[in-house]
Amino acid sequence: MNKLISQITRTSTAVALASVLTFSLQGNAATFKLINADDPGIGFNDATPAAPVGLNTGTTVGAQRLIALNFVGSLWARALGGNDVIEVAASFAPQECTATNGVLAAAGPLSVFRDFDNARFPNTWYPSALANRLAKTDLDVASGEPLPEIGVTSNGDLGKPGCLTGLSWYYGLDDKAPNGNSIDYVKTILHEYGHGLGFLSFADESTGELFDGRPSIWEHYMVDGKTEKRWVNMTDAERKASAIDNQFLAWTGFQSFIGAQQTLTNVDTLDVFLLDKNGIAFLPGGTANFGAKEGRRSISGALGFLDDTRAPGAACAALTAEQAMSVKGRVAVINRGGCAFTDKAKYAQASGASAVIFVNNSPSFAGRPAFGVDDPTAGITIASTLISQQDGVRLRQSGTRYASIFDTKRPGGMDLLRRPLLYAPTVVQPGSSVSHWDITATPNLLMEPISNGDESTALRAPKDLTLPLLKDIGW
Amino acid sequence: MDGLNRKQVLPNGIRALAKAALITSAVACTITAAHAQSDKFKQREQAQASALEQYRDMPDSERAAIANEAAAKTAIANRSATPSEREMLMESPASARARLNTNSELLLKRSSTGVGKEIHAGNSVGKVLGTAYFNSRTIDIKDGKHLETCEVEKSAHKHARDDDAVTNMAKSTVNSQAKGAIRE
Repeated sequence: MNKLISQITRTSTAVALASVLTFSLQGNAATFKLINADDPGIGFNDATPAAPVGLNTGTTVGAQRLIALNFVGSLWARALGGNDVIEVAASFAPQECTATNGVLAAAGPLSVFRDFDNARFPNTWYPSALANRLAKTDLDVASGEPLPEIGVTSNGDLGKPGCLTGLSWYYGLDDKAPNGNSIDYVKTILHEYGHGLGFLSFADESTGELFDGRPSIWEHYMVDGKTEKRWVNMTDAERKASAIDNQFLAWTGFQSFIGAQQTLTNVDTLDVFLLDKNGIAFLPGGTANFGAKEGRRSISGALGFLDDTRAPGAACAALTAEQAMSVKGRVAVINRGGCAFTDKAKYAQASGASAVIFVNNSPSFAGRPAFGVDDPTAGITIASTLISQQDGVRLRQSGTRYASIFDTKRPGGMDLLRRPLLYAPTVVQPGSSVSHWDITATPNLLMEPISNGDESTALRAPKDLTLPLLKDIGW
Repeated sequence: MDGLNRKQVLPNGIRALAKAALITSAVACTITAAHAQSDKFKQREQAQASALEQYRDMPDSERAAIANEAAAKTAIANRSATPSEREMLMESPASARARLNTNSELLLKRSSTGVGKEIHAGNSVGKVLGTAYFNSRTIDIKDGKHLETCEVEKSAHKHARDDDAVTNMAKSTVNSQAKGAIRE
């Protein structure tokens, strides 16, 4: 019996040891090693004295830049775990810049690999940092071509005359960049490192072509909700169409799906439903910050189109008697542009409109934006929604004279199957389309294409979906 | 009981009970260990989650610890780039992209960085991208407001930006009423 007890003890000890070992291994942090590519005296080597700021103890501009970049590396290292050494070649060189427009920073993987040991999918490209993690070796070194895994360049001229004049980098580590003219360097680079680690598609979103004729790991997880086809199984033409399938391009990874349920919350949207010759049409709408907030769950009525030829200034003044006749007791359809939304809603309401459907005036508009300003003094009590320009054309050409507006509380940034949506505006935006979370995500996520200022830097659910997606692709 | 064959000594029923007890114990041990592992996993997750809370919400002590770690790394972990690495990093994304796509020997030889070059390690195949897939964070200043967006130069022609400030604002403020929604 002692032998058996001893066996049990050994077994439990082994299990316990294994668990400790597992914990220990998982508890390790990757190492981000910075490779300074700047010449003496500039960029990271800038010896200009600087006062420590926001926990950044550097006393020169160059030292503060290095510390800030290493701080980002530390945040990512803790998130990724593992024992990887990830080399980041970094420079603070001048970038394309004018007084009002310029590159803040850029980053990406410096090489890709396929068909290495432990690759989850064959014939599939992986960014090198991830490939190294999966292959458990540094493939660049093994190939005889040692390369850093990630490259990052930052704008060293920011704030100088002629380059975003008046702005300045904030190198503090406390996310407390002063409002106004400071750009938070840590937050900027945190996002860019995400791309360097693999948060991107290598397919050409404008043509649908795969990189070097093969999919990357990213394309295995992108699915078009209209066809339920993954990008890896599509033709170039299908990928091209899917890249602009706004609100239908979704991510299928399990970790991101779970993370999305924990992170994304419902938003109020006023969507338009109409019955035309093709059946029921659904036109996604944005949410007005003014007018009726309650009791707008269902508004049905005849449509009253304001004269289209007056666009974009329709309803910027009290409606004429003829216009008033066309909207009285109806859901007014008014083009955006020329004056504030609240002005148009106010004039439509004064003429007896029961609600307003605004039609956007730019084809590149996507998503369901919040719009207008909540101005109680305007006295607006009717509900308003904002549909895309394309849907506005559809509405006008449908021949229908009747529509319903429903308050649909839907998860911001998820499709109908509650999968997180990827950014796929109806006009391709190279570098933004397909390789980011959709801008309808609520709350704002780090890996959206546009900085909202309040995006999470937590990287993981329930505050962010960056890390869940990276786990999906193999991190 | 040492030295005895338990099968011979113990009656079947007792053997079965003992076996069941042992199995139960083993399962219990495993469960306990699994619990321990689960607890430690949770602790680790919680610790990481804590460390990775939005860093604006971090306790100062924790933020300072990471900052100190970063400062220490700055002192010991960094190195200077080789000429080849420097050259690679300085190349414009459009140029790197063009070389990646043409993949001609002539273009490859123009640079020591080998952008577009195929490299092999065991059974694996790699491809040097250089800066071709760099994702840029750009900023526009319109009417005193800032707008940061991402874009990539994937061709020799720079992507024509949407200069409709109102539309851009629509995108930037889609979820952020605090920053002001589309006004008109």
